[in-house]
Amino acid sequence: MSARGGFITSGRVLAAAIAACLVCAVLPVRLLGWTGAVSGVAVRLVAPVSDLGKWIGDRAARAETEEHPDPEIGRLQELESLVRAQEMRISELRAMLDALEQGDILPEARVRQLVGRVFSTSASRAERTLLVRRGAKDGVAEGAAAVVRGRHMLGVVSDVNESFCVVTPLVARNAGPIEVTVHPAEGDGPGVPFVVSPTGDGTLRGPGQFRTEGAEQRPVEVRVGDEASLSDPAMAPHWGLLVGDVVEVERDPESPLRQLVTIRPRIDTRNVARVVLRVPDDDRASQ
Amino acid sequence: MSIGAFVIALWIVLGLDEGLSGLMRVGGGDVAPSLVLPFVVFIALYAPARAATGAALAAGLIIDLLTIRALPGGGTAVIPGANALGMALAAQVVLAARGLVFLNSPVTLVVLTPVAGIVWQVAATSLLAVRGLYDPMGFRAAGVLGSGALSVLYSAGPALVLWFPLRWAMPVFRFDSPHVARWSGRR
Repeated sequence: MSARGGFITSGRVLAAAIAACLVCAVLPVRLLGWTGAVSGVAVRLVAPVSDLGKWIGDRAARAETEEHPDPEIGRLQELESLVRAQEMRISELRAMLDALEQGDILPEARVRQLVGRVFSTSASRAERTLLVRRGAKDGVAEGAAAVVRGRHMLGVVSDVNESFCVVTPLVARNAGPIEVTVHPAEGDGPGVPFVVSPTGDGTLRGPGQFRTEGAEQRPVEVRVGDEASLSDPAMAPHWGLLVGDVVEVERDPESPLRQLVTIRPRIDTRNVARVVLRVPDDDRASQ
Repeated sequence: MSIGAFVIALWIVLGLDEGLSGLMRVGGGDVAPSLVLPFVVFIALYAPARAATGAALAAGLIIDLLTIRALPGGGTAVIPGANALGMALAAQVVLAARGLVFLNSPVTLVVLTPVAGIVWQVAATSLLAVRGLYDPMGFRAAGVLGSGALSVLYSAGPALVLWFPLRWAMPVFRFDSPHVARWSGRR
């Protein structure tokens, strides 16, 4: 900056900075694509200290990790997820039988699992995005699922930087709707598909399909305490992962035969230390 | 004011703020204190007016750049400006009040932190709400403002804790405003 009286003074620089901030604050998102790169630099600069703070905080708050605290229960839950995923796969294959003569069935998608440290949450308290120290150089891609405690679906990778990725939790207000299947928490029973959307208060809510069972066509009804597993067609490699527990059941006012459920994840998205990133492995799938 | 000291202190405070927010969160809500806010208020209490405004703008801009927002329909966006301008306005409140308060008391920081914080939250939320009128991004101003207001009230606690190391490190900042010569450690 030049001395007093020059063209570039500290006052003018400050005024220009304020004007630039004002312009950026009102620019539409489609014109702000360049801010991602700048944000990446800021995140990397702050990461060393935030990593240390997060490490201390995680130990003090006993944050969630990628594995279940009890390995035996974790293994059992993992097997339960696999069974449910296979059940969904079988029903999907049954639906595809009719189309077999017309086209090829893609081989079953495989996933690679990467453990990543959550080194920061979004600086704004209202946002719920998480930054995970795994990025494009590790093979992470958009659409990968973030999982904790072995089988609890936390969210989806919504943006990937070279060295880190952004995970948008399923319960984040702007996360889209997903399809889940609700099963009885204990014992076997038919599942009921629901399409649920984030409510903004940490839960998911949405209507289900009307299903019947048995010769007498008895309606299948879900109850409070039942478990919801992922069954979204767009996330087939991650089917069977636990989304949460049903905490409220009511009748859909628009269609009284259908139920409307509220699902609360067991994991607090803001208290997570490490996640497993399940990245669909296209190379293996194509072999 | 020493820019180097400010940058290093902001770096440490931002990192701790990012890292410890989960630990300091209250209940199941989004209410967690800000460590950056009391730091900006502290700078605004002692630095020359223009430097204080610039420092607040820089701190707010970094918060904007660290806030990665999930967009409806997928994808993320970083929107610089709202927190930067909010912080700059908050600094103006402190600049206006600093002639009326005891500069050498931690109570001053504890009281001014929520006051400036409310200004920051109202300004930032208003800007984001206005842009939501023509560029929807699933932003609910009332909820954000409510949790933001509680967060800045909560920030009074960390302000008390931050006062002592900041006050101890005051000579490093080399505040050169005439009104702080008595306390800044300069002879």
